[in-house]
Amino acid sequence: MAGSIVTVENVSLKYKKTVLTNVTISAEKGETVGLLGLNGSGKSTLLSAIAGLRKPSTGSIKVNGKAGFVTQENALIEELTAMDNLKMWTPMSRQEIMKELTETELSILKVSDFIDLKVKRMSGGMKKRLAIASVLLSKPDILLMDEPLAALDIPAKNDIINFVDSFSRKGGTIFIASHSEDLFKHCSKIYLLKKGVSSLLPPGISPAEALDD
Amino acid sequence: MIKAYCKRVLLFIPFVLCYFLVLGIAMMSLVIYASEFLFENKTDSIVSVAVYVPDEEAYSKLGLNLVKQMDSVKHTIDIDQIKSKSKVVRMVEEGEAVAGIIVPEGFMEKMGTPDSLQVQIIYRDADTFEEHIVNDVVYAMSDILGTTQCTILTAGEYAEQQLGMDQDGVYDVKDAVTSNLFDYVMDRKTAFRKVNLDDLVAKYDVKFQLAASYTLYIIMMSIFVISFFYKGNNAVFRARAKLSGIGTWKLFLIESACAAFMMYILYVLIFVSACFIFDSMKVLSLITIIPVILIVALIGTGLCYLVKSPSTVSYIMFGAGTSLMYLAGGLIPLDFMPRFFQNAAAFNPLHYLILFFMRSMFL
Repeated sequence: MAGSIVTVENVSLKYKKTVLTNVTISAEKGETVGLLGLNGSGKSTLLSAIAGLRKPSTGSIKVNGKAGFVTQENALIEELTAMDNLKMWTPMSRQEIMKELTETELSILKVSDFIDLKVKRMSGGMKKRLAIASVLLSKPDILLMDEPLAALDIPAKNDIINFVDSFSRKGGTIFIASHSEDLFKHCSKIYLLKKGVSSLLPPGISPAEALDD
Repeated sequence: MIKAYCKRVLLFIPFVLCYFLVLGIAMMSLVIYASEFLFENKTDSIVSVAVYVPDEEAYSKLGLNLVKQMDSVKHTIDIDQIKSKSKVVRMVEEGEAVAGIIVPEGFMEKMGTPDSLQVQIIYRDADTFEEHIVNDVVYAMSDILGTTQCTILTAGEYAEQQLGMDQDGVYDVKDAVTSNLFDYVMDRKTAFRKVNLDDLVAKYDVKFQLAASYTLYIIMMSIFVISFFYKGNNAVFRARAKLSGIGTWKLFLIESACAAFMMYILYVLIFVSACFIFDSMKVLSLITIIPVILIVALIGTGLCYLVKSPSTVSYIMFGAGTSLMYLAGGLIPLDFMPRFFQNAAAFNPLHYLILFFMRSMFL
């Protein structure tokens, strides 16, 4: 764990009831880490704790870099356009934003195609792409994604999976909480969370089998 | 962030304005219609009072006639002089008169002695909002009658006994006293709550008050729409802001400032519209309204931060906000409410906010 960019050690977290119990996980630079678990198993809470939004009751979380969090619900303002939503969280000008959206790995998300469209007129896939782009504009070293493929169509899923690969290849670390087997195929390691307790998914066992046990 | 947020606020203004103006105009029209009805001269607003005065009570009869001729009384009270006590009671029971006044036999003789008698005031438990008006008028009239009788009696006795005047001289003195008496009586009237139903200014006061209240109401209710609670994603935004290095206080101040900005723009629009309706709008109010708007913005945004669920905010803003506004006399003028509600308004901060708003706008 010495060279880890994210280290979570023996973390327990109580929020009305115990959500996490002695969770220990880590990630190296450039790794894509999957968090697998049933609903209510503590995946989102763990991501919030890594992002610094929740304080663990016991244990420690060390993050060596800037974290960006793509939450399950999109933090977008429906009445504004994609560009206005992006401007809300970054001091960049329109030209600078457009450059980022078309000339970096963000181009995979194709946000520039609907940059002047109001959020309330967007599909679920567009909204998710925009939410990811809005987080990525602040250039995080670690990307935390909570259910990024939920309720998306196949083209949107493929674009996001391609983006995850690209971000990881460029040295970015990603934590993904998901139920999607498609996404786990791209993870270098997968942690299984059951009732707040974490364990590394052994090789040869599929996520579906692990959840069935 | 502020720039984008202000843009969002501006996008909301037409929606908020249209929605609340339609609501406001509908409610205001209803209340103004009701107030026109209430202020109409040829309605039951004139109170009918049955009065019994014993035949031998010449001074009481004189006092009663005097009271009947008073301008403030003849437009509000229809005095019906009745010759029997039982008929007075029956008229009140059957609703022919809203109140009855019975002057007892020997009232004048025993006035000022240990055996002094009381004028009897009979009325029913009124079941309308006019109860307090009726009671006040009846008490005021009884008081005026008593004062008049007492003064005329004293002046007459003084003229006869102390000055040794003949009958003509006594009447001269009485006339002089009666003239001075009016001032005294009118002063005494100030101790009572008066509702001059013929007073056109009173009508406009109602309109001013309602206009101010509805403006405040629109401004208060708009805060929910522009807060992050509107789409139920408050927690997500707060988390996002925190990760972007914007602390809770900073976000709170940004939201409050943007809310105040929106309210101010709304006020300017309402002010311009109101200039077409009222010719006494005060331009200075465009400045004096700023502290009110800042207070409302801070309280409203603070509420959105303290309460976790969007639906609870909605209940509080619309439920409690509307109730407090009602009790503050913002929706129905306090003059039309029972006395208890009128007294309770003294403890309602919105009452003072409405008064401040009204004075800022018109007076």
